Amino acid sequence: MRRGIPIDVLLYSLVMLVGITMGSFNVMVSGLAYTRLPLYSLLTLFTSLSLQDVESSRSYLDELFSTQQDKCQGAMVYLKNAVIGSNKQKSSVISQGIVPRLVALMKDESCDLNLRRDSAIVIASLAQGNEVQALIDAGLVTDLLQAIAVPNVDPRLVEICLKGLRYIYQHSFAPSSQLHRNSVLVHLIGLASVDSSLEVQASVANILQSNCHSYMEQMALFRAGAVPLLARLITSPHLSIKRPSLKCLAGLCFTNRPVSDSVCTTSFDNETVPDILTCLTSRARPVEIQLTAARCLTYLHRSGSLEAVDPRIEFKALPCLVRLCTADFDEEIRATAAETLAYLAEVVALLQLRLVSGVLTRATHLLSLADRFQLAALGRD
Amino acid sequence: MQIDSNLQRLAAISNHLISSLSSLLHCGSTAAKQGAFRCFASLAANDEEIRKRIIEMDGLMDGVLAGLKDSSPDVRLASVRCLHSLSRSVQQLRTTFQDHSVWRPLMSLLTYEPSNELLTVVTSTICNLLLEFSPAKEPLLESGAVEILCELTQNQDSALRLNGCWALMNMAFQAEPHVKTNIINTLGTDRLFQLLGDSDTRVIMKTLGLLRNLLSSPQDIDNIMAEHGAKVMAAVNLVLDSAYSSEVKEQALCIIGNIGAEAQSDHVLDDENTLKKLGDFLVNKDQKLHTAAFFAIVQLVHKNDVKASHRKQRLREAGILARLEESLQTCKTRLYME
Repeated sequence: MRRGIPIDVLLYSLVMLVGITMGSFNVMVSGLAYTRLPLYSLLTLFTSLSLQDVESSRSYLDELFSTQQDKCQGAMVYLKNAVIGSNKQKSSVISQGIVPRLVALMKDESCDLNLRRDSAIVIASLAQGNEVQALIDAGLVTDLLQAIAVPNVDPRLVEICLKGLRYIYQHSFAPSSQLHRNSVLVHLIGLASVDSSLEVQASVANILQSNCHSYMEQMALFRAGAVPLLARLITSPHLSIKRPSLKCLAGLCFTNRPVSDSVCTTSFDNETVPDILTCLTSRARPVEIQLTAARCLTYLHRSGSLEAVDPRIEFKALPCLVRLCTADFDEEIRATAAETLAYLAEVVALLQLRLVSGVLTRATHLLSLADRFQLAALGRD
Repeated sequence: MQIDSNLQRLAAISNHLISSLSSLLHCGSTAAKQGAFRCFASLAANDEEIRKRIIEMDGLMDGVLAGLKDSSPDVRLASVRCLHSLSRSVQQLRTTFQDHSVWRPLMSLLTYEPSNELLTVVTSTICNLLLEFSPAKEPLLESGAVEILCELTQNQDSALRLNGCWALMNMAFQAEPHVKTNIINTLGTDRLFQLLGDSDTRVIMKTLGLLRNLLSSPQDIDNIMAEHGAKVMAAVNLVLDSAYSSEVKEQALCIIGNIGAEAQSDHVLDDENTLKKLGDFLVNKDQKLHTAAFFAIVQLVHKNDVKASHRKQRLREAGILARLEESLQTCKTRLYME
């Protein structure tokens, strides 16, 4: 019996034709060439292709700069849908010089709130793309920090701006000098209050985590009150908050005695931070949480705030790290656990053998430095 | 400085850690190898028993040697750190290290413009391989280690200068005369004495240690003093006159003791400044200086040759005898007090 062409194959052909016509063929083909997708996928794809490239449709540009808010809003929705999930479109928008207009709309308090929010959403989406350096060069960090600092600003707008900052600060080249002003940090930490949304708390934790590397950065965060905030955030039941908070805490404590001492004496809900961390090393916790909590405890020990004989080090952090080195865990977890364990059990000074000869045996009692094992401080590794 | 061997021991006996790390070495990723090597390095830092257990893991040494040739600089560095920890074992130096000719890949690492960090750990390991009981000492000498180490003493990084001096000091310990001559000629007396004025006290200590090891047998002392006597005495006086700590000066006094005991000529007695310093240190309150000065004078007095009476006369003239009596009186008083 002769069989007809399946409907999805027909649609696939149609999509290909449209794709070729619209210049978006390459991406689509790579996804479809080997599999026959369900019908709804093809329909979704077809719909997405009906959105033209921002490059090939200049008309929306005029509308984006229109003084009529409804036209502007329409163009913004179009732009938002185009850039989300497409690095190519993000790059294209940035190269067309639209960012200053987006920033202006986001900051313009006379504009409709939805338009301001959508502008911020597009900006945050752009910050997830490949052209982050261009955004930084355009002064976006300053703009976003200013936007969140406006009194009585819309909380949703703050949330979106923080997301943008979070994406930007994921990159090591992002400038941190503006962030490390005490007033900015204090404001940022204040935003992540108990009443704030989970998104805000997660974004603040991520931003702080990305900006805690040098001694100066550690001290700036410490002075701004990051330790009490993190003490609360690491108890959050939400991984999206707990994970970056723990990482930030580890970064704060690394080789920093004053901060580590403060961490050891800080409590949340009548529990000290080292005790909270100890609970987090339990097998019941997600592996990444166990590892990062053990890392925090390791740094507290190596900073000199917790003794090696402290049961939280000896009987919790160390066994946890040893366990995470076993073949039951992913290679990445095992590697980090081994590295952390190496740091935990490392001797501060490297040991070398040394010999000094005295010509006379009677001289040997004088050779106070002629121990066969000699410590030589060669720096931390 | 804290050496926390307890944590190392605890970790090593826990949950088959050593076999876990050994299997991690074979995972292939840079992070896995680096983590495993670094952990082995930490565990093996102090405890001989742990070192033995690590090195006895099947194929471990081959893994470490493969790590030395890894394409990743981080893995190479971590594997040398591991080797450095393992090289603290006298037994391993004489057995496994010898069986695998570990010195060879280590020396190869020095030829590819290593980073200062890698160079520091490699030369720290070489320091241990140059100990008198290490079978690698001979091949290292033959493969040009003296030249490399002497060059290291000129490095801007004080950690590397320290390792250069340290390794040369180990190399000179009970070495054949030709090895000592090679060290002196390659390093040059000028450089040797420059090192005594180094900004890093640890470098000065090791340079004095090197001098002590060079001046440690009658024949060597005569050979070296015949050619460089004036410079050696000048250098020693420089240290004695300086504001260095008593530990540093103690080393210089030990050199004087060695020279005084074994040299044919009276280098010490002919040097007014040295005698004066010996007298001063005899009544010094610092126990180290006091004892070391006493030791140096005993070497001069105990030497029983034709010049013995002349030496004693010279010591009396220089006021040393009076100082000794003064020192004796102080000791008696202290005894009464106690």
